[in-house]
Amino acid sequence: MIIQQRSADNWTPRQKENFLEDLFLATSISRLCETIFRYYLKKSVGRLTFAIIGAGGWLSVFEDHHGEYAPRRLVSEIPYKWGESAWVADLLKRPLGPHKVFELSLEDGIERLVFITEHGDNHTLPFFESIQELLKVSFTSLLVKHRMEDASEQWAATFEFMKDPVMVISADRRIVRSNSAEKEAKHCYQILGEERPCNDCPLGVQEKAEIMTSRGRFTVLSHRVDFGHEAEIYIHHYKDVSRDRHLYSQVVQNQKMAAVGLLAGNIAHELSNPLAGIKSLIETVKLDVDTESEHLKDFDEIRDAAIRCQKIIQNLLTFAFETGPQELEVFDPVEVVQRTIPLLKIQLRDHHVDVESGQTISLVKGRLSAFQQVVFNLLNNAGQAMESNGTIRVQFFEKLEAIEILFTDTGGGISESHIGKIFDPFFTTKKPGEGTGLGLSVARNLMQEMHGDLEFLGNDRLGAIFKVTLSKAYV
Amino acid sequence: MKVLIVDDEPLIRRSLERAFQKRGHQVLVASDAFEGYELWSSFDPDVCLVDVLMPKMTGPELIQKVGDNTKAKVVLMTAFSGHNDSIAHAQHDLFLRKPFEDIMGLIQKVEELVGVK
Repeated sequence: MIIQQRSADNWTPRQKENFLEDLFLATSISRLCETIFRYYLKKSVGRLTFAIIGAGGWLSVFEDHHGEYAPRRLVSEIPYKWGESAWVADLLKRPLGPHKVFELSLEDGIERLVFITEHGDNHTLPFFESIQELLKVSFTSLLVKHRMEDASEQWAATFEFMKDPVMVISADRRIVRSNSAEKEAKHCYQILGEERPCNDCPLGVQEKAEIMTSRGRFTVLSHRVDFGHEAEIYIHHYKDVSRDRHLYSQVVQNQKMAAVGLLAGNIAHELSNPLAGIKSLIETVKLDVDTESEHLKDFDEIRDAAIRCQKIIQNLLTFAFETGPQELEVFDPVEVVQRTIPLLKIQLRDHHVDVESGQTISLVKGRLSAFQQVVFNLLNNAGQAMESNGTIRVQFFEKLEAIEILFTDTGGGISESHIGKIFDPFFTTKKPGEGTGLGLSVARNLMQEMHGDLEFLGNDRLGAIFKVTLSKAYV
Repeated sequence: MKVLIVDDEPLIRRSLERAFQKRGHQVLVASDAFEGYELWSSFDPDVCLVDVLMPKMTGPELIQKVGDNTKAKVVLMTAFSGHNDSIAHAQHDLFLRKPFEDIMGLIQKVEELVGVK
């Protein structure tokens, strides 16, 4: 096609207006290239290649394929020099025909636009010179738009990737945007599993608060943001602090247990002296009493009571202090169970404990005090699970290399929904303050440390069955 | 024989005192180690039964304070069940763990220690 007009300077106002309108209607650089190409072909002949060279050495090439332009991103390690069309040809991986190079720096000075017109005639350069200001504005605005879209995509990806819940909400707690997977939620509190606004919600009141929801405990940072319109918009960032709180509670609980253990040990020691005195004095006094005296039986009662007290204290001392060696000891598991029951006399006062050892049970290898703690936890849990007049059955079974102990209660069993969680740390169905949720998890760890195990076998008709396994001392 | 009992627990003192007296021995009791030290010098016992854990001054400290200036045999007594270095290092002739299983058997052991029948 032979052009009639030499440059855009000779365009009629209508032509210029159309061209300008088409340029600004282009929604992408590809469309922009196509628009220029169409106008260029009205004035000249040949092929038109565009390249946008970025500051980082990247190069977006828009090459004519029958009037359509699709971007290709190419990267060169060698910097482009002004006027080097061979560099472009090298990247395009094809020789350029007779061509002309037209370059201009885009408005922000970072990117440069290079046009290569192959088979271009003498009218090519005047044409591009006449529209260069329009091109600058058009390409720059599209590049800026692209950069903003890229940045927006990056921010959106970052927002979605954040693990903590982040929400943009209105003053009435409606979600404008959130990174939660629950896209159907209308209000912020629904994402936290609540039906009404959370207690202590900081929205519009303060910038930070701690809230307790059915999905856990969160610290909430609340910031009002100004998006340039009148609606009050807030960004809420929620940080799940449930685990931190649990760990803190665990440390506090451990410290309390250590203090209680120390206190119990001191009390036990203080009590053991007078009890020893009672027993000794009774023995001495008995020597003065006539063998036919009815008081002899009373003295025996007093002595036996002192002996029982001493045994309880001895058990308490064993339980309170892990003074024993950390290596495995040999002990009689039946005796340990029997010694533990009196420690729970109050907790089990409304229940009955049956210890069925049947034949003689072999000695086991383990950590005595830790095993006693496990027995204590299991009996205590069973006692708490049962209404009054419950029965806990403790049965011992000889296996080839191990002793298995079944603890069966009449507490109604563990619900299906809880079975998978009972050994999770901090899982508890007890009321706040009644249980730490650590009993079973600690008990299982203790058993596994001594090469044994603690398992939940299932529910029977009346209650739950737990199995404790201990290695036999001598196989 | 002359027996000195040093223990801060009155029931232990009383039971040992009565048991030794029953066997015809002369007994003095002290409720702490300071009193025990005074009596040790003045009474000059043949045997001294000393509790390990006492307030103010412990049994082993009392034994160390008395040193070699005594003819008395020393019997250490404790209700403490764990290991205690002070017991291991204190000079003594007999060690008794409280509570006593058989108090008259204990008296006999002490008599044998001193050589009194």
